[in-house]
Amino acid sequence: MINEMETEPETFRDEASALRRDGFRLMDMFADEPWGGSRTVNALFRKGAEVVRLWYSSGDVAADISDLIPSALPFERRMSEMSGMSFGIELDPIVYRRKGRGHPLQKASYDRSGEERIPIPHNMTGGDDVFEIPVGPVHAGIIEPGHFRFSVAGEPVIELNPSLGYTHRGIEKLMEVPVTRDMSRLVERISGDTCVANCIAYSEIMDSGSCIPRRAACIRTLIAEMERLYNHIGAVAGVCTDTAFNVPSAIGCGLQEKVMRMNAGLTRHRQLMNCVVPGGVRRDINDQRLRELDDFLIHLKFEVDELEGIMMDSPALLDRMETTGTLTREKAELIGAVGPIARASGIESDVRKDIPYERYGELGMSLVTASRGDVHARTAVRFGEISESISLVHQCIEWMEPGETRIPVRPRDGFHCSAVEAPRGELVHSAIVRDGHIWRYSVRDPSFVNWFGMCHAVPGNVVPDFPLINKSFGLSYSGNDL
Amino acid sequence: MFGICLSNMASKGRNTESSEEMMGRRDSMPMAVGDCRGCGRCADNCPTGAIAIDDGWRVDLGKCIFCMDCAMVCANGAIEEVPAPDYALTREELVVGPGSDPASLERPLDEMTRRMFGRSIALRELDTGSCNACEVDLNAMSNQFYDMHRFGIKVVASPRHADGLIVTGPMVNNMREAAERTYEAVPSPKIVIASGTCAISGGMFVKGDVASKGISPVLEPNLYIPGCPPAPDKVIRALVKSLGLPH
Repeated sequence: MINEMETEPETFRDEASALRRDGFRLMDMFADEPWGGSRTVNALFRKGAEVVRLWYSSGDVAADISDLIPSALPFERRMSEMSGMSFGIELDPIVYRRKGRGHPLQKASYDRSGEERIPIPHNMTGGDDVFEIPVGPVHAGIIEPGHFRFSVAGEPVIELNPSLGYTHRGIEKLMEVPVTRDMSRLVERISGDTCVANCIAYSEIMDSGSCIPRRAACIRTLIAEMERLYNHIGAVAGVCTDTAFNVPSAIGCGLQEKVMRMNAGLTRHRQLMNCVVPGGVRRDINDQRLRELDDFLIHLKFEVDELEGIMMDSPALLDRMETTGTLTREKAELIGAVGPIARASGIESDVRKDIPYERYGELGMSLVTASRGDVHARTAVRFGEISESISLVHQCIEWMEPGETRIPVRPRDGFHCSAVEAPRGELVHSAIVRDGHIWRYSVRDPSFVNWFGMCHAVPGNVVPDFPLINKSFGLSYSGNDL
Repeated sequence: MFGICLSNMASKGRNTESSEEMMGRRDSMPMAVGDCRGCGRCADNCPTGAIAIDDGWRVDLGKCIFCMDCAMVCANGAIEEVPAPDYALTREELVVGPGSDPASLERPLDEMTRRMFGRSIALRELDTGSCNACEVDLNAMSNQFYDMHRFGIKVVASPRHADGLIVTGPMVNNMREAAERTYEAVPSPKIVIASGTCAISGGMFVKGDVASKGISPVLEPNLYIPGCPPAPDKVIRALVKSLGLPH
């Protein structure tokens, strides 16, 4: 599935730009340290079902490709502060944001005491009558921490600078353990509302080379769609909350709660944690529960349609949503946007269709896209995907067959990579296994690339529209910060 | 839309749970109730090291993520789910063994605190590096099923409007300064609630060198609510029972 392409530092730029010309999109880029002092730079590209790993060995100085592929810049920033790579250009911190005697992902241990936080520069935009509004990291709502600087000239925002990294917990370092240790409990907590997708991506790496039982794959597919359901319903309800449209907001939150209670009935956890494990799933779901779920989803479909009717027929809400926070197709392609955000800008990309994993290849689903890339388009795409998810769960229940739910697995040495369509978009996990030990584990959350989409979508809009645009993107902080 | 509002007002089948229903429920926790032979397999397999067997079987609810891996690996099937306490007032009390009564942990807070916040409480949520699961469930507290506002619980936008903090996450290095400054911004007298396993003990992340052992090195919690994440009704029950809020 993965085409390996080893290259040299001198030819890396040419190879990468050739891939880009062929229509490949950069999925992930990370540095590895096979032995002391030596480094390899790995870049993963995808076009449809084709995944290419382009890699080369280098010293501390690596080839900068951000002028050829702008979406490489965040990855280069992360590599420079996490692994100590130098790209010959000055790179801002992105996740760790601390300066000490070493770098968190380097293999040699170093003294972390005395590390200092790198201050966020003031007034980066500058100019007469340009004001800067700092927001966060502690926000007004019940959400995760992150800092934003809006530069405003009058009402409209002219620039948005997010500084994240407040929830950095060192997950990539914690993942470096022997492959026999089951790390699925930690992987689930990369981002608590995307735990199934993260855990499926991790399990696909651990399962590589063995075929998991069909019933287990079916249960994984089912709960992955249940996760998408509650996330998407929460996201559309959030759009109503942030426009003070209280009736549909209350209806949406109620529907989300109903789905989460159903989740608790299926897996004994409202966010579906503690269910997926390498080699299958931990607990079987009994047929009685599946029948209940089938009936519940028929009612849910009616209620979601009713909610969609209220929202999409309201002139007041449409006025807020349409032409607000537009991410054009060109900009979405430039930053390499993924998931519902990319689909709302007209990019037809969905891992479930491109590289079907688990049982998605056997299930019928259609891709929901929109073209305008504004808040309305993103909400419409989410509503379309809610219907698709309900249909997929119905199909899973229909095709569920009796059998085992878990087999013992052990991954081989080498490079593994898996891509999963999380509720927020394409999620990529990659692992380099050496001598039965996870040597380097890289996670690329969909939010890591989509955050830059928001930086392009907000300027030109008034400050009060920022919460609305933010909610329509529905990005994760903890997945981004790791 | 108005049709839906009217039909909801007229219907008896509302979603909101009665307070008796909510107060009567209890979450579950693992406990060695049966034929425990002290083999230690549960302790070895616990992802957070919450189980100790040296001095009799003990589980630390401040570390437990309630995954029940221990029950699955137990050769004798000795570990079962038993009713769990909703909260505790001290960290030590969260370490429980067989035969302990969950209700005995749920003592009310001191009288002064109850007099101040026992009618209603306004909290500011402070995320110190959680995975967002705690936030999802804290958000759910205000939906029509739980409706925390009827118990006098509010989540306010600014620490300056708050009576206390409800803190989630393992207090990562990058949030330390923000957490200290948020705490200072809350007017005294104030309370601090550690909600969730990460906030109590650091949970899964304590093995790394970025997260602390919960929020206690920076903030001193008055109330510990275990759970990964604590369910919305559990948080409401903990606040109602400890503060004596009307219900």
